[in-house]
Parts: sequence; structure tokens; C-alpha cells
Amino acid sequence: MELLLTDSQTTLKDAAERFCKSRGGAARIKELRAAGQPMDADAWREITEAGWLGILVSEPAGGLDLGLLELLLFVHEVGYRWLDIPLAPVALSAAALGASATTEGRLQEVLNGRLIVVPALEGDGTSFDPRGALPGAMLVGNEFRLTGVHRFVPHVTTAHSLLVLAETPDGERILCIIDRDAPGVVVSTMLCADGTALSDVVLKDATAPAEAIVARGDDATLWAERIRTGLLIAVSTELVGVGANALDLALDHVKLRHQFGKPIGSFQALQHRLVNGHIGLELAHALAFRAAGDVDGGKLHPATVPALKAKAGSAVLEMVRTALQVHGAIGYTDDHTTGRLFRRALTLNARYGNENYQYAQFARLSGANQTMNP
Amino acid sequence: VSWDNTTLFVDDSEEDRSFRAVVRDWVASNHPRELRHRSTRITPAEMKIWHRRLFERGWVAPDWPREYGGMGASLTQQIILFEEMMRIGAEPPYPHGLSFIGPIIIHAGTPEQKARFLPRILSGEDTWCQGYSEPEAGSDLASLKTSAQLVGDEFIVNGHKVWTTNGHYADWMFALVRTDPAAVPRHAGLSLLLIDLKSPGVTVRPIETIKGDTEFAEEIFENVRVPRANLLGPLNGGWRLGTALLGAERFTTSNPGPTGQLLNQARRVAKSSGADNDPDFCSRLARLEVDLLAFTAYYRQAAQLLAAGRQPAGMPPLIKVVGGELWVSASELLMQAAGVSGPLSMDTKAGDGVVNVLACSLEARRMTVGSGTVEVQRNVLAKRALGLPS
Repeated sequence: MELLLTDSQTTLKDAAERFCKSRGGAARIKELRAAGQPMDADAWREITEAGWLGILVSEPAGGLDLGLLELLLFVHEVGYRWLDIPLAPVALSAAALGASATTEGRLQEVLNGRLIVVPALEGDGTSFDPRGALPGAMLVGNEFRLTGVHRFVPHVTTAHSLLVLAETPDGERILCIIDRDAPGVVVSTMLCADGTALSDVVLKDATAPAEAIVARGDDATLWAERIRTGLLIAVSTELVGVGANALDLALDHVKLRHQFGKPIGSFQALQHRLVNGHIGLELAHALAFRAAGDVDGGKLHPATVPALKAKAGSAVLEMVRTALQVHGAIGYTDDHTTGRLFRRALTLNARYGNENYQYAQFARLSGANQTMNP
Repeated sequence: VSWDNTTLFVDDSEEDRSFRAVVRDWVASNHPRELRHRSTRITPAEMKIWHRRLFERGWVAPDWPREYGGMGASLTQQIILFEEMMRIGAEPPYPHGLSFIGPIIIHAGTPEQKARFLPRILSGEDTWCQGYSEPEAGSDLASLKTSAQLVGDEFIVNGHKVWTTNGHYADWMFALVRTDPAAVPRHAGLSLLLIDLKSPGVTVRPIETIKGDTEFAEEIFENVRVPRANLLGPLNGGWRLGTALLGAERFTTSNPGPTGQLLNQARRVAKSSGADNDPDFCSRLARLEVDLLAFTAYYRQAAQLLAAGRQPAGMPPLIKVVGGELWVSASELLMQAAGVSGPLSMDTKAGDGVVNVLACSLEARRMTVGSGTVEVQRNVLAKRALGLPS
């Protein structure tokens, strides 16, 4: 369903659509994979030059001072057209850097494209599990030494630096920026179903000097939470974009493919499966933009976030399964885009916790005595 | 989540908030207590008291323009009114006159028809019913056979209508009838006729439902004379007029509120029965609540689009499918929560209160059938939203 957008939001959405249409696509992804490129550097340069990375950064700090909703307009197109770029992770990191006096210089490097910073907040529990342990931070002189692990962090292979969350022995949270190739940082990388990578980041006495501290204490907790929320909402929206792509491919196919003398899209069994896919995407899309609007309006209920990730994941999985099914044998071939979208959906659904995990998180956050009204 | 607040998301403006407060107070002190949270069907006769109070307050027809005695309310205000009634277990008055035929008369009626019918719909003096379905025309509505032959200044009506909600209480029926048997396509030969059910030749028989009440009736028409003045809109122009009513109307019949209420009951019953310790129950509850949350987001966005004068493509059938199926799923979860006491024809303990689980369960089954089955709605979506061939 269409969104109710302001004129400037519409302009932004149109620009994102044009950009992603010209830069994205399964063929381009295949090219990049073959060349061993973890991301599309050309597309990234254009995004940087257009100022997109400052979408969440305040104007005085050199940003566009827009909201999560505006970011989602872009992220949905990234999912739909398929680009390999860490847009939301970098935009969210930039917002945190922009809010800190100490990391002002780093922010400018991010905005002008010299530095790619992605968050590493997972801890050792995976899936942003609050029960997982964070790396420990020991104060030695006036710098912190970090030891511990963040598991299954996406985009590390494309990044120069990591925005790392750690905890001191007295429970204070520290958010700091650490170079990926610094001493004491060991990255081991695993290949995902869609050709992207997840990394375990192992820290052993990695140093964070005073000028690398982005936030401490409540401030660090707040920013980590904001970034997590943003990442979950963004990856859900990217998933919805992937699902919309799969739906369109499936529709094109069933309208052209004839069997029994008719287009197979005229058969009710297929129509109803496709309609179910469409309905799931419509609901997930509405919830994604609802969640973003609530974040921007400062009225987000925390249970909305796992609800969205769960809904987007289950709806898009159903959509890509259906897309594969209606393609018949051709969908099962290695080269066909539908199969690639299937693998993409599996990857993004598992990221930060799959649908089952998110349903359980939702149940935990929506306890019987809570209400959705503040 | 407690779904007691039928508004899951807070969207009210300052003005909406004060309107909601006024409505909340007024509904609480004016809605008859014996009609709240009723497990048995409220008859149109019982409903008249509530209808009358809303009429006197000026709120009985929120969507009608003021010049016709309506409230001229915004869509948001209409939704607030509905939500605040749902919140205390109050049903709005029956929609057949107020929401279905009233707006069509306003849109297409002659000045005489407006003067004759609208005031009595507003005041509740006339009870209306909708005569569309026939024994051989359900999902395939355009195949209906009830004929209305124009002879001089009268139509002579012969045929059989069925599944007519409140048919045996109604004073008037708005009926889709065949006025041109040869027309191609078939729906081009249909007209919308306003029929006085007290006319000679009309036989009305109530039908008992699965729930055990008599919601429905069937009507046999044998040479019933209907004045030509009761033709609404153009001759053979009934299809477009008669099916147009199912647009904004979906906003009340498919509101997520009642499903939220069922989930609340399921939580309360589960606490009493111990089902809240069953992981399968908890997982099903979470899945349904997430779906309801997503549906509510969609519903709110659709309402905002409509209020901004857009008609979101594919929205009415989607709301009908999802709203109906979630309602049914919630009723099934309630039955699961109640365990062995679910199918008893008596109340089940639900926290501090009680709920008739069986009645909720049986009542829900109509939601995926009435005013177009969800399968037919999916066919419509396949065609209109996805452009799939027939």
C-alpha cells in the first residue's frame, strides 16, 4: 500500500528508486561475487557523494537531519532492487558518532566516504540476546582494553572500523570505535547462503583510547539500543523489499508460462498462494513504516520491534517459498534469480534472530500487564 | 499486550483525544448495561433503545452529511466512535439502514426517496435488511434470479432471497433484482429495489443459525407489487450502486478491535485454565498478536489514506480477508485455552469475569463467509491487486 508522504519524502523516495534501479540487480550481485568484492564500491561512492550517509545526522554536524522513516524509503529499494551495501549500519553508526563531541572528526570521515564504520553490538549470545555477554572493558591509564567477542556481525568484511559495545567490571557500558585491523582484533568470517558474510569479532586487549569513546554509561546503553532498533527495523524493511522482488518475478512468470493451454496464473491454487504472499508483504510493510514513524515520533513500544522482524521474516519466507514453487524446476536451478532471492531471504531472516526467536522476544516484551498505550 | 485499549497505536490528535474522552464518558453512561458483552444475539427490537439514544445525541449516523441529519464526522472520528463502543462491549446499531442503504439513498435517491426513507432510518423507526443472496446465487451474486417485471407503474416481483440478516424483523428490504433477463453481461440486468416487506405476497421465514439464534431469514416473493417510485438509481443500474457500499463500510466490520478483545479473553481464560503454561498456546498467542499488530498498522494507514482522499488499491478485500481470518483464529485460540470446558454451553471462567467460549467460537465462523467469502475476496485480489488472468 502506498505511504502518505510529504513532498520532500516523495522526492527522496523517487531518487532512491532511480538510484537503486540503475545500480542494483541479481546480475550485478553475481558480477561482484565473481570478482570477490564484498560490496558494491561504485554504488557506495555515489551514495556517499549524494550525502545519504548523513541521513540521521544533524544539520550542524553536516547531515540531512532526517528520520528512520526516510532511511527506510531507501532501504526498501535496496532490498527490492538488490544492492550489497551497508547503508543502515553505517547511517546508524554515523548518527551515534554525530552525537558525540569526541568523535566529530571520525564522523566527517564517514560522511565523505573515507571510513566505513559498522556496529558490533551482538555480544556472545547472538541475535542481540540480552542474556549474552558483552566484551569486557578494563581501564588502563586513560584508555580502555577490550577483551571478548561479538558473534555473527554482518558487514565486517566491508568495514574499516567497528562501533563496539563493551562493559566494564562495574557494569558501565562503553561504546567505542575500533579499527578492524588494529592489534588485538581477530576477525573470522563465514560465508552466508546469499554470498554475504558474517564475522566473529574476537577482541584481546584491543585498545580504545579516550578519543575513540563514542559514549559511556546510560548514553552508551541508549545509543546501542537506538542502533539495534534501527538495524532490526531496517533489516525487516530490506526483507520486505526482497519479498516484493520475489512477488514481481513470480507474477511475471505465471502470466507468461502456459500449461494446459492457459497461463498458469489463471489457476486458483496458484492465485491464492500469490495473494497470501501479497497480503503478508502488505502487512509487514505497513508495520515497518509504522515502527519507523513511532521511532521518529518518540512513541515506539519496544514489543513492536521483534513483532516487525518476526512478521517480516515469516511473510517474506512464505513469499519466496511461493515464488520458488510457482517457477517449478527452473526455480531450482543455480542461476535463476528466484533461488538467489530465496537464499537472500534465508540470510536476512536469520540475521539478528529468526522469526521464532523474535516471536519469543515479542512474547517476553508484551507480558500480560503491559499495554501498547504508554 | 493488553488489548483492552482498542487503540494499539496512539494516533489521536489533540482534537481527537478530547473527542474520544467525550465519547467514552457518554457511551459508558448511555449504553444499556444489559446489551454489553452479550453472548446471545441482540434483536433489532432490543437494539432500538440504543439506536434511539445515539439518534438523540446526533451520533447515530457518523458518516452521513449534516444536511441529511448525519454527524458529518471525519473517518478518524467514526473509528473512534466504533472503538469506544467496542471497548465496553457495546455493539453499534445494525448497519443495514444506517451504513448500507442510507448512504446509497443519499448518493442516488430522488428528493422524494430521501424525504421518505432517511429520517426513519435515522430515528430507527424502520428496520432494514439486505436482499442480495439467493439459494442459487451466493458468491456468484450476479447470477441472481429474483425477477422484477415492470408493468405500468409497478414492478411485479417473484423470487426467493435467503441468508437475510434480520429479515424477519425488517420493515423494508433493499434488494438486487433482475429487471432485464436478457442482459449481457448478467450484472447489467440488475436493479436496486426498495421493497416494503409488509406487502401482500411476501412470506418471511426465520432460519436458525449454528449459534442457535435466528439471525437469518428467507423471503419468498409471489407477485409482489412494488411501485416504480421505489426503484433506487437507474433501471438496470443496480449492480454498481449495490456493490459500491462495500468500501468504507469495511472499516467497521473489519476493525481489529473485536479480535483484540477475543485475545484478551484467551489470555484471561488461559490464566484460569493453566493453558498459559503450555508453550504451544503461548507461541500461537504471540503469532496471532503479531499478526494483529501488523494488521492494525495496515488498517490505520489505510484509514489515513482514505481520510486524505486516496482509495488504496486492493484495500477493501484485503481488510476483509485478514480481519475475518484473524477473528476466526482468535476464537479458535480461545477455544484451545478453555480446554475441556470450551465446548460447554455455559460460561467459562476468565479472570474476574466469564466468557461464553462456545458462543464466541460459533459466532466467529460467519466472519470468513458473510458479505463475500474470503476465497472470493482472494479471487478479487488476484485480479485487481496482482493483475492475474482469469
